[in-house]
Amino acid sequence: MAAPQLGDILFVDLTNRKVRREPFTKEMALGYIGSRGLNAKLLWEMMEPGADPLGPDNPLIFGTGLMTGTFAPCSGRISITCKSPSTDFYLKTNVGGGWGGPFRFAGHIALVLTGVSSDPVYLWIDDENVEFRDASHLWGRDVRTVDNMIKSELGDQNIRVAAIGPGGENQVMFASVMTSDYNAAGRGGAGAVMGSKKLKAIAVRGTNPVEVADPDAFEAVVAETWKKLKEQSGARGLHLYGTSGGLMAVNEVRSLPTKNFQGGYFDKAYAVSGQGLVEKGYLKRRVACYGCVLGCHRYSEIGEGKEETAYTGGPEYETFAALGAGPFVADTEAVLRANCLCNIYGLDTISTGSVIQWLFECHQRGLDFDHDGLALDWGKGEEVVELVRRIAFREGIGGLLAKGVKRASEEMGQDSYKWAIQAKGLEQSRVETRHALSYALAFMVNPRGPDHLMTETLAEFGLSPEMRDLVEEITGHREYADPRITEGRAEIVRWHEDCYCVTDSLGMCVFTSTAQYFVTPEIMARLFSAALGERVSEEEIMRLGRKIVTLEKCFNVREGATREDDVLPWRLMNEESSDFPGEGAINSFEKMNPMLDRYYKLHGWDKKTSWPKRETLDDLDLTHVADELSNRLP
Amino acid sequence: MGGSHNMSKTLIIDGNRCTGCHQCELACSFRKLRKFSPYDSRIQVSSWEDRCLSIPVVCMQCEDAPCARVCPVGAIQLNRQTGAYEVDEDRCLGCKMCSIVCPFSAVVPDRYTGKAIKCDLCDGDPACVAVCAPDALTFEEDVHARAGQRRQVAAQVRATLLGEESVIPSGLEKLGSAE
Repeated sequence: MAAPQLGDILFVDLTNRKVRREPFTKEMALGYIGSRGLNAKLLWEMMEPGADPLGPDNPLIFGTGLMTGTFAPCSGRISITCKSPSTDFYLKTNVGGGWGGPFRFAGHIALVLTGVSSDPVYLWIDDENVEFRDASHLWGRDVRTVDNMIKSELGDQNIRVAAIGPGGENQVMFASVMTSDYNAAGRGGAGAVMGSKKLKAIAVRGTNPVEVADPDAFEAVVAETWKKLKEQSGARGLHLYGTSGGLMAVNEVRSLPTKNFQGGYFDKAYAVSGQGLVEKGYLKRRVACYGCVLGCHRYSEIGEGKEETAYTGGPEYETFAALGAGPFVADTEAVLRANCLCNIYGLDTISTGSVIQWLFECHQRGLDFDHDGLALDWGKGEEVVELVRRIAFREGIGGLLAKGVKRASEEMGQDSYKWAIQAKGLEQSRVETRHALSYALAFMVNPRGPDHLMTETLAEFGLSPEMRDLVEEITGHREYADPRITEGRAEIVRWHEDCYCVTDSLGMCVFTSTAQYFVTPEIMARLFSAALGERVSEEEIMRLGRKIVTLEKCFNVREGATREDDVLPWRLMNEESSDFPGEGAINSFEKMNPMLDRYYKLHGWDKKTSWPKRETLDDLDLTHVADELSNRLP
Repeated sequence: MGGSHNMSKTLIIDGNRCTGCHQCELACSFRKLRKFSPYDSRIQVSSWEDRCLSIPVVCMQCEDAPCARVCPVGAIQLNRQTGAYEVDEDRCLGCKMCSIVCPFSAVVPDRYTGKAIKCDLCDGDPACVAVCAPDALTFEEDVHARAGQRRQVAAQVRATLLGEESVIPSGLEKLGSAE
């Protein structure tokens, strides 16, 4: 069976304004799948170790997968990869919206941006044509305005735009790349990298077909996923109430991080929940990414939705938790406006909420610092909104917060590192890892820092029969579907790493495979095989997932990472939650170390350093990586 | 041809439910071409991204279809079994008259052949409906049964004409109907 054209990798040199193309071959797909995997390979090969994340030598890579542009479920996700300015380590950030499909219909699979433009510029990718266009009239403007201006000046509303806002231009360390005015590649500061390149936006229009090698087989597998999807009640809930539909349940079990992870319960959680959003009439529409059959996104309006901050997509669970429950804000409209500003200024809502909560706690603890004229008390919604604005424009105290919580706490001093909820330099997502040990372990070893977006281990909660079946399949013990016990955590994390990575690399949404579990590795292997025209087994595709995860780890090792970097935020390792006190309710080294040991052993990584062993890399066809590392490591 | 449509199903679009996923375009092009090509899809989704608003537009299979009436060679004919107006490719001249008169821009010249293409309801099993997860597209026996939806639309028109607040409560009332 002949493989179809898989698309080009576009290499765009912003310094010299040159474009080069290379075909994405079947061999490359068999080696790295695509999207996240292909990006990892390209970043490893192209970036000199030690490169300045905000300098010309940090490539910024946008990758789609072989499912992108097909009707495989939820296949409109893209991966954006570079060295993170927040952590100085590996960054893969994944985003939906409508950009990925048209990019693939334009005939491409990945876009590699290198160098730095001398003046603000935007790219116009119109099928095979790539044009550098002046962006001086767009610089300084918000994402929504830029999106509309570009569509108007290019004369087609079907164009899709990935852009940065003032946050990215001002190199806020947690600036996002937005693929619409509500879809954010938020974590780790890819928007700051794009801003450092003076690249305001990437507009794309694609009119070519995307083909799969075996249409009949492909159609049959997709039909199977539909059948399984319809049996999932969770998928329906996700559509009706969004990711924030789970917030009140998390609150009930005292795991909704409040006041900067001091507590786990918010008595006014309804005001910032998916149910509240629907029932109070703010929700106007349910929204999907390209090719998505779940439709978990929201669109909300305040009043008639006329003012600039009165309408936007979202909020998600993480946003409601970070900008609402976390700072104890029960004013739904203030949270909606803060969410809107994060979207149109291009800021990650998780990190934005985290730095604001850190600042509120600095005030709570009576630290000596300039309050910049603001009342920094828990519950102050208007102050949260104003701080978002000051962060984006680096005004006053916003300048300190824009550095990210790690650097801000170093400047603040006075023991404020103890409530800087970060590790590796990334603010933790709003997940209470003290109550879920697979999550805790996964967050520690996550190459980009502590969050749930490189691996998510929902099955450990055993919420459904499918989850309990899966835990039994992975560990051999059904009773291990319990987040409080330490046994089997490493096995659960490693399986989910592989599965999550395969999903990302195909261009699909991880909600299909590690939240709803209706797309299994076996199904993904068959989708990949049918698209590529080459039989790839479930075991083989999961091995490719492991290979990519290992390569991402090696990137960090090459940048100087050791076992000492695999930690959680100080508070979570040393203090218990006031709403969930009790013996052992912290992620201490004492508790986590045996799990870490087991995790490294399962991977074939050295226990002392955490570095992958040569034989491990040889087994994964990463001998070239082992060679380079052995030249650099002691 | 009076009464012929009573026997066939009708493709219904509920814009309030469309999530903008574009699965309908993907499925349509795949059914016709065995490739994924939204550009060639007979159903097209228009989006206003800043308002997260998407509306699919497709042939309405008009009772007295202008495309069929204007066609100089009678290439567009009603299929009485399915209720779809179908293009006979062998007869079509590619004159584009049908595209010009269609009020929905739902019949267009194919970019490969130059002949007219339009929705033919996939012989009574529309591919787009099968993949519409939020049920924004449905294929229904009895359009007259949809009195509730008709009244909602009428109420919106009424509110606009009278300059009143909409009488439809936003939020749960409207969106909860997704159940």
